[in-house]
Amino acid sequence: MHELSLAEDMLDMIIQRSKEDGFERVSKVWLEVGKLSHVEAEAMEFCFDAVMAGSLVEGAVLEIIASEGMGQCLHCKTTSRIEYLYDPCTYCGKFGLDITQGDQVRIKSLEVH
Amino acid sequence: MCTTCGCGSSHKHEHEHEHSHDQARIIEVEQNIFSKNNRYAALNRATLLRYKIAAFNLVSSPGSGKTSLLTQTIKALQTKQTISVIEGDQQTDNDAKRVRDAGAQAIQINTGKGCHLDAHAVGHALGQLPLKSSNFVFIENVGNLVCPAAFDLGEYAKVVTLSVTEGDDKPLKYPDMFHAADLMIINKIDLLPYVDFNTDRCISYAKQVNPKINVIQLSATKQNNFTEWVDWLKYGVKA
Repeated sequence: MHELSLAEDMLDMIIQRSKEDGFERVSKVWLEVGKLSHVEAEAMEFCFDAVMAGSLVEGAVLEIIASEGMGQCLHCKTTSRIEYLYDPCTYCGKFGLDITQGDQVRIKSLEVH
Repeated sequence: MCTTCGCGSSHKHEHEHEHSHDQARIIEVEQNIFSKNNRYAALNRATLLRYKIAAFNLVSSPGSGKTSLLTQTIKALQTKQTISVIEGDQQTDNDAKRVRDAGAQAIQINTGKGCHLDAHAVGHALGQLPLKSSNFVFIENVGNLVCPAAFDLGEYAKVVTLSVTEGDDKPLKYPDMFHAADLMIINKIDLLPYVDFNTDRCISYAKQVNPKINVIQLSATKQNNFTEWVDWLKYGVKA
């Protein structure tokens, strides 16, 4: 369950940001989770509350925005929407796609006070 | 009247909590949550480059024969090369002892409840190794085909080991790891006559997930085809 350590890293990033932007509390976190990323949304939701307890993010709502997986075919160069890393190109049917979207996990924005 | 929240008149912001009703604002962040790990990985990569060391991150499920592969590799390389090893396990320093017995310097990291090594822990371990005299650093990750896929440690290449006593469809069951790896080693090939493992199928699944992946089939304990692996380490170019 690597989502636990990633939630801890998220908290560190938010604390750092609070020093730069001068906020004292966070009430909502928008997190983009790519469908092809290494993060399982449910596992992240599970870890989030536990990690944020006792911090300036305690009680914050975690809003997960799922982003679609997209890949460019190495053969025909077209871009397909894919569900899994082992999906073939939708157009030519060959395997081997360069992932162009959906492998990222990003804190998009924060609602702060 | 305060223009922020509309309270009172001639309101001055001198007291510590000027807005008890807590005005919210939204700030844009757009930050990758792996960025902290990736920053440490970049530092490790720079350190390794400075000392001209090739570092390999060895990943697999438990029991694939990573430590045997490593001890045999140390024996094959050590006449001309100096090898350092970072061992990652949840508990015990058994593996570090095994690689020290084989002739390498080793640092053990116990991750406790953690399921993977991260670049920060590896950076500390690198600081304790004799990098000046090392040619190779092997990082034996925690036996786990899921979590270690996500964490760049600053290595030159990621090597995933799969043994023929496992399922040949593991590249599809754990695609993240095979997608991230530069080389797949199919280990324990001396046992092929006794197991139901289809090597061609396994390789085609791995290529489906990662067309650029290199493949070497060997037996670490019986030394079958071992020179191909040693040559890959010495001269091999990343996919």
